[in-house]
Amino acid sequence: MANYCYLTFPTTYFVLRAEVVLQETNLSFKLLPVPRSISSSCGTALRCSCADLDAIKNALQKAAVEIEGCFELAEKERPNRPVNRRKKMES
Amino acid sequence: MREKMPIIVAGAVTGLCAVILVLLGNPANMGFCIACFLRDIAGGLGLHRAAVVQYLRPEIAGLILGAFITSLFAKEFKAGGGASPLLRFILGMLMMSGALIFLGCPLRMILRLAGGDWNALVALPGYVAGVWIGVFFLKKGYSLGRSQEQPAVNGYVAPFMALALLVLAIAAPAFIFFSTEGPGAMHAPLAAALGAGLLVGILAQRSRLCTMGAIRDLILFKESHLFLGVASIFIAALIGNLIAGKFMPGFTGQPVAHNDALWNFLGMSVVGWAAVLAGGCPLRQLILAGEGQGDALFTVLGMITGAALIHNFGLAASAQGVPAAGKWSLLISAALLIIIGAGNIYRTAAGRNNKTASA
Repeated sequence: MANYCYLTFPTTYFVLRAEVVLQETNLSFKLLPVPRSISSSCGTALRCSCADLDAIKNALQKAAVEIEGCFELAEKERPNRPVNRRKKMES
Repeated sequence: MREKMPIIVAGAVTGLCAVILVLLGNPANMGFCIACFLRDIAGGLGLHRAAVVQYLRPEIAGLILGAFITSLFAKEFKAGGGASPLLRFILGMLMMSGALIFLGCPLRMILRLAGGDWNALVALPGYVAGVWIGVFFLKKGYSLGRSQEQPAVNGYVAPFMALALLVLAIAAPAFIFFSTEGPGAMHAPLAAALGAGLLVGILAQRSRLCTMGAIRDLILFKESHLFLGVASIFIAALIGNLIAGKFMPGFTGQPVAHNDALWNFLGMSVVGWAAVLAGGCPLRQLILAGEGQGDALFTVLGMITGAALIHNFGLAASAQGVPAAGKWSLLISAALLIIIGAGNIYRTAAGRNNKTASA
């Protein structure tokens, strides 16, 4: 079982800003469609390891990148099938 | 694969419903066409007097109500708005200007392709080009700002309007126009059209189906999730057309279409470009409106108003081709898209905060 943390953003603009900011760091992340279990948004979310979450949030907040929400998804051994257990975290 | 199934199913059902609606009476290759149907609604309300395209298409009401109902049940209904509503209204008008040159929205473009209308093969790269241009603005920092949560009553406006349209379509009072010939007179039975709209509205809300997002995500993030939905629409409609004997390949003599390749390309470019700047294709705007997003409703109202003005000013294309005035109007639309795009670029966070404060 692997836990991934997801960040969502208010608009595509902030997603692109997040990508630019984080590419300057050595933090690993992936941009992908917002998981359906998180919201009905057709936008893009940022997935990272929960261990890196604070560092990523700090980097984004320093660059004034607005974060809308922060979620943790527990994923089964097959990463393409996340369990529908989501926890809304404090953003 | 499990995460991909909802959007594949949504696309397939949309494609099949489109074929069925044509078999039941909708114009050929027009089982769904958000732009055409909003234009027909504008005509039905008397906002324009193009006699051949006046009918309060129940599919539109179905799409909005389907999205509304399912978002309520899923607790995803959220009234919001206030993110540049006037510009979204204009973007809706500009989307319609491109669609009425090509004679179809992006969804109809896919359905035309699945029906063998090869003019859509020219329009498709135009749509991609338009989305690409819109993505260019996104990368430069374009944003219409953040939607604010609003009291729920704001979110009920779109479903209320949809219900009102439905009541008017059923009651058929004397002040509502119904075409007696032409594409406006060709329609599936009301119950079937409404049912198909509800079903597709529900599935599109659950799956987040969006033709613009499909291209945008491929360009920006190499993500194919939304594109699977688009591909699914095409494949299902193609299979349905082949089975029903409605696949008629060719460039000429296509139903409710012209074969002016340049303007088909340019028309869909404007649609794609405007859709990126507005945050969703015409179908997605309807779904978002049903979910309570007032900004999306402004875009839809812009599309309806744009359709009325375009027909009243004689700017729309027809099977005979694109009028000179329509060509000029499309170039003006492109100029307005540049202005809207450039005028909403936030170069720095500080610049954006200052802009918000001064507003």
